[in-house]
Amino acid sequence: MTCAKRRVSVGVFSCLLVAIVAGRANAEVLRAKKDAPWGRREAAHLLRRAGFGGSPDEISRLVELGRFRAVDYVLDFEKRETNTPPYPRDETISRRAGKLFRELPQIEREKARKVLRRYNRVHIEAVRAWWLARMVATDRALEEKMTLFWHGYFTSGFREVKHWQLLYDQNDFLRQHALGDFRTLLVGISQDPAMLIYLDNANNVKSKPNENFARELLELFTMGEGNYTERDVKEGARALTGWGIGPEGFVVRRRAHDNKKKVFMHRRGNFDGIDIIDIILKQDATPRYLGRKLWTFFAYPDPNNAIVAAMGNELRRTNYDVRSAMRKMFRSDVFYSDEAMRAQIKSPIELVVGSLRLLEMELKDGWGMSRACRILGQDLFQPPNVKGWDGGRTWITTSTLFYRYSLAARLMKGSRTKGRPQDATKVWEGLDELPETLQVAFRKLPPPRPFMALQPAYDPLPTLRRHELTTDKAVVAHYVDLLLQTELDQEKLSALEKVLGPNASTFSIDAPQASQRVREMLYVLMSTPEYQLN
Amino acid sequence: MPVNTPTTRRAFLEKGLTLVGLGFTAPSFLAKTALAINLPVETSKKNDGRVLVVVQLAGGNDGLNTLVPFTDDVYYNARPRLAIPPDDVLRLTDELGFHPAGAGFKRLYDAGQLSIVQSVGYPNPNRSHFKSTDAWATACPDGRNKSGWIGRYFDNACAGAAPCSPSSAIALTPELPLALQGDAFRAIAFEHPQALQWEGSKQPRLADAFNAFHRPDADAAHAELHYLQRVAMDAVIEAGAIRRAARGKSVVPYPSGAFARSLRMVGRMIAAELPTRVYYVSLGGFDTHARQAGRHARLLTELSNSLEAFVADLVDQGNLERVAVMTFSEFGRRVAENASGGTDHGEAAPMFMLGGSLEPGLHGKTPDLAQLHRGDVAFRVDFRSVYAAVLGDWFGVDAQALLGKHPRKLALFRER
Repeated sequence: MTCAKRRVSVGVFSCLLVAIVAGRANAEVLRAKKDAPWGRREAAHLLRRAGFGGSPDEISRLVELGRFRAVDYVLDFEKRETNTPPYPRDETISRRAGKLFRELPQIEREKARKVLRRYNRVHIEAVRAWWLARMVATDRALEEKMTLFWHGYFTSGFREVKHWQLLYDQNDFLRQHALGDFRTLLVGISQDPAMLIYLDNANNVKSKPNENFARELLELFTMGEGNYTERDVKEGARALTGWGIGPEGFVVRRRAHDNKKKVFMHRRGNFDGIDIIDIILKQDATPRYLGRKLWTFFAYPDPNNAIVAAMGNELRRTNYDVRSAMRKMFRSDVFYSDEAMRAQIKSPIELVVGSLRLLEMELKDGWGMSRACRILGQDLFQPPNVKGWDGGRTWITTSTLFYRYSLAARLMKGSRTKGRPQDATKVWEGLDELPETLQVAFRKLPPPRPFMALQPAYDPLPTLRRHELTTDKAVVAHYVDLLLQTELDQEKLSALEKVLGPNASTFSIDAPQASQRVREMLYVLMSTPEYQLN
Repeated sequence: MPVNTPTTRRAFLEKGLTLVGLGFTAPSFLAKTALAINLPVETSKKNDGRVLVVVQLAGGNDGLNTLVPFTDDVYYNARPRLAIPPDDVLRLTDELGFHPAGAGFKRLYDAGQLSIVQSVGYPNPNRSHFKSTDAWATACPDGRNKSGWIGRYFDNACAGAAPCSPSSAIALTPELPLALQGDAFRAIAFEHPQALQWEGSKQPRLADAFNAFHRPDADAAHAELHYLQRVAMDAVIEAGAIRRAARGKSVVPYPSGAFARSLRMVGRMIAAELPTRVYYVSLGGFDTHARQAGRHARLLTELSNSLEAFVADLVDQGNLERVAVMTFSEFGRRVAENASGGTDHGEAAPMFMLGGSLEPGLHGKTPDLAQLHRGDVAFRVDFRSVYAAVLGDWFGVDAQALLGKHPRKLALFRER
């Protein structure tokens, strides 16, 4: 061996050593010590973050499992049957109606378009209600929480997409791959019809490239600003030309695709959209970006570089297996640190769904609850912009805080009948003005799932009897533990007890006004800063 | 300098910020001290208490189709489908005119109640909605400052014991805009005033319990809880005054739509002489990547008609002189149209100022379509020149302290 060769191999070896040491140092930050604390506090935290909150019984069950098995239980939800139905939809009928629509003369098309707009608006409301109901009822909470995460990550909006089925299908796709492999998600969402419409890539053609999707792909879905150049956006857009939507869904229109060489991330080639995605996945910034997003959503905002690097390494190591990264996160000590505990402000969905789940109430008024989320700033299928929902403190303004409090009143008293639109579920309007054949075809389209039943008032008696809560102190203690999952000082506890009656002896589970008093106490309990914490 | 400028420190401190609000530049040796004192920002007399109304055009307004260069061939060649025909343009000069949907703007312009700042942008512009909106909101294109320029104004105006009362700035938007977020200052954001009320407050038993949770909690364990408690308490205090103010009826008719409703509420709050100095409203939908023609026309109709009604309302109240409206958008749009009947993100665009104390006409420089920057309208006016005019001339404070080094401010306001 010549001296030069030996020097090279030493160089390689020391690089490797540095990499191993760095890797271990990174892995350290997400370690899970053997005797790390695991009690009600930690189990409740896991159930809140990896879902929408757990009942006292669920918390107890997870405590018994110990941290690792509890994390497995939460993550490996496929082992449990789905207990919620999909949304009814019929592809063949939609296509037949669509064909008839396309055969109409222009003037008739305008009328038909108006009818279809109404149809779609009603249906998307029904889909919102369906998803909320699913989040409340599901046994597989992380599946829905993860779908919600991707929903705010790979955003699309109804105002732009206009077709309810496309958004439902996108939601279905995200749910299927919720904890799967990121490349599958990325390719699938890039070819998803709703996304192709939302970010204009269906209009991205060789003669006039549209950069919208390429830009957001880089800025929001994979690498983050500062890790690519304007040229990458332009060249990426060229590579993504020709992708569109046909009667069967995603199509590649060869004539509209730019077949010339592109220069993307310092690589040259006749790239298409898939090539671009694969190049992006090879970049260092990509797993770190995804790792940061996951940590911010599930743990706490602004994770330090070590955590971002460790999450990124796990994703890189497993070839972007999201489940592995989540397992590492949920197992880590730092996920249960003071920095993470009660460090999040509940999103509107977490607030609504969490309240219904913990109070064991079924979602009946999908319309009312999704409207409440909309007013609070989280309209499903209509994020404020392509960035999704910023979350955290942005959920809280003077008025959203008051509205959260008034939501508590609605949950206790039930849906208000005043001001409810009569015709929110009426799906066809102006249908009789259309040609007979079209009327027949449209009427065959599946009707929206009902979403406007009234939410009944909360009935505390079953809970009071089941847990034998016969004194004001017991009632308050039970609900504070259930809903706040934290300690309150004596002054606040006494204030809540006084709502049940001026002194201890005046509360009786059998008194006619017992239910009302408990509802009032809960109304106060849920109108507090404490209740907004996750 | 006007005769009754205070020349002693005591006289200045007694009059305090009221004078600063009138536009007198505080003598420099007093400036810092006055601003450091926690004087109430409230001014409630007519002709005192200047107000700024910020109108955000969210999405990136196409400036070239708003203020149309109807004699420029480059414009027509670049936009075979989207360019506004010369005959449709509402002419302001021999070369520039409004989109036909901007008839309201034309009337205001002719009355000297609307002025235009052309080609506004900033160096090394960003074409991301969020990054660019943040640049305008923080007055910091390099992204290093995370607080809003108006928030910093209030941080500065009420530095000392406590930040300004939250109702000093009101946003009629679902979320609090970054521009209003200071380091300490928090403004109020709501869309409907009746939202600012806790229903249970009518029952003493409930109200007592509610109050137990809405008192200062010295040992709030976590930063988030502490933040929530602070916001909650501020909210309760401010809500009553705002509810009462916003409930009034306006004499002047407004067009329909959420944007006009917001402006009408602002009109009511100004009429009720709330101590609010800054209002913020937003009109969205300007991100016209596709099918721009109809959408943009509808937006400009809504914008110009609503603002025309707002100005009429202020005239009716006798308050137009003390109100300045400033529109902004995160960027303009590309000169060339795209294949979807729309335009993609661009760079510079015009800003519109409205009010009763404006220097009328056109400010800045008309875009030179022969000298584009990467296919976009190059900026000729840095938006900080406009902000500096607002902070320095309209509110009479030290703009440099709030914006850092900035280009020379424009003369947007009439000398008093």
